[in-house]
Amino acid sequence: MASVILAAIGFSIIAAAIFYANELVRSRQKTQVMINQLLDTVEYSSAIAAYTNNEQIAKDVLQGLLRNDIVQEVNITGDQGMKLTQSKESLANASEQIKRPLVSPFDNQQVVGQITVVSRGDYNLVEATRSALLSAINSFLLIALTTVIILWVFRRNVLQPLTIVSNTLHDIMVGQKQRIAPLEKHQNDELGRFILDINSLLEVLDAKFKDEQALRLKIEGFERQLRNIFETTSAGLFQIDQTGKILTCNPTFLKFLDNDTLSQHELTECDFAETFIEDNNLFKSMIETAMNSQSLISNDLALKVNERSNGAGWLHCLLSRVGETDGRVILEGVVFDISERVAKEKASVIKPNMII
Amino acid sequence: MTAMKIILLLFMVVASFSASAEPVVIANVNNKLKEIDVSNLQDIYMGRVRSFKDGSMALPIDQAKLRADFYQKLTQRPIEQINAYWARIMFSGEASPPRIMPDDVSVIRIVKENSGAIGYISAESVNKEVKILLRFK
Repeated sequence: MASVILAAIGFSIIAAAIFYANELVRSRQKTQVMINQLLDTVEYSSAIAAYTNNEQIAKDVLQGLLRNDIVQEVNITGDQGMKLTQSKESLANASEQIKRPLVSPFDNQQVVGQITVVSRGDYNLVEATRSALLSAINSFLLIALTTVIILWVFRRNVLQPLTIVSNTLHDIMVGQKQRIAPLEKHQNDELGRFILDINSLLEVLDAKFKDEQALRLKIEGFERQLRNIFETTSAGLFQIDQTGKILTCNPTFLKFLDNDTLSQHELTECDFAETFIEDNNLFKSMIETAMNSQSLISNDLALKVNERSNGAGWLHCLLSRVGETDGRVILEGVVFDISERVAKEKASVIKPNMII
Repeated sequence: MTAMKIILLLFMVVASFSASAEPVVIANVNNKLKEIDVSNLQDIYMGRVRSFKDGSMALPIDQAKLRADFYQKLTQRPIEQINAYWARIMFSGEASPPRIMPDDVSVIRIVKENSGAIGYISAESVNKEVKILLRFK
């Protein structure tokens, strides 16, 4: 509102300045016209005075002219030597000079003298200033009144309804059924359509929100199921990169490794083959083969013997390349504990020898 | 015969009117000027100058019956305008219009009695007591 008032004041000042300059030019032109009209009035008497060399008539003319506000000085000369000048006592600056030759009252071709009128310099300024000031006050009042009316109308018809809409919209929480009530006087205008559109958007947003919520619940259910599978499956699952570093793994995998010295973080940073596999070259060759062949590679791997394990553990490992992320090749693996089967196989191989 | 007399009489009346419509400007016989131009005469009668070109004082005299015609010929202005002109000058108190005499005889008498006097009369009234300075054409 303040900016509107400032703009109105600025516009008034600019308009007043332009009007002042224009009025100054107009006042000068008006002064010239008025002096010429005065000269028209006294021309015949002046001509008689110059023609007859009659100073009394000339003085009457001079005094009559000097009674006008716009005249500062008057001069009449005649061809018989008459030369009269009168001026006002005030110290106003002289401005323009208007000269007019005086012709004989009986012969238009015979010049018998000249009359010169000097206008008051400040008259134009005073007139222009007065007119400009009046115009400025007038326009300022008009602009101020118009601004107030416009602001009042704008506030009543636009700002207040918008504030109601804005506050209502601000108070509506996500998922609430509350909607913006249509405004009584704005059912069929832009504001009414605006409210309808907002309510429609709220409806759509609400529906989207509910859909999203339902979808999230569904995904969470899936995630729980997958996590359950991931955590309770009898197979060990893991992901490694091309260097053999473990990226992630499930609890069954950890259980197969029978590790309790390395934390989860240390485990995921360590080299799987170096740390847990007896024949780590075999596992590394599996990695290379899996990376190059794009097919599923499988092999039996003997685990390193540790203090807690009763004997050598065996895993059957299936390894395949999954893809590449940020220049890092990801491989996934599935391991099954085959320690019992290998032990039985070894036992069955040893028995015949013992018999021998 | 009677018709001839009537025609002759009418001719004389017309000739008489024609002669009286052309005022002549007269001056004292002792005036050194032999003639006067219209410009100088206008200056004298309209109060612009008060002397002849030779420097001698001029005393202009109007003739009441011929006045309008005379000024019309002299200034190409109607007598009303001439009266208004003189009214302005008289009001200033600095000059007065020429003295108006009722007829040619009075004008001749004034001119005869004043060496600087100048007047106008009908052409047929001119006698040897005055001399003609200008005839209007």
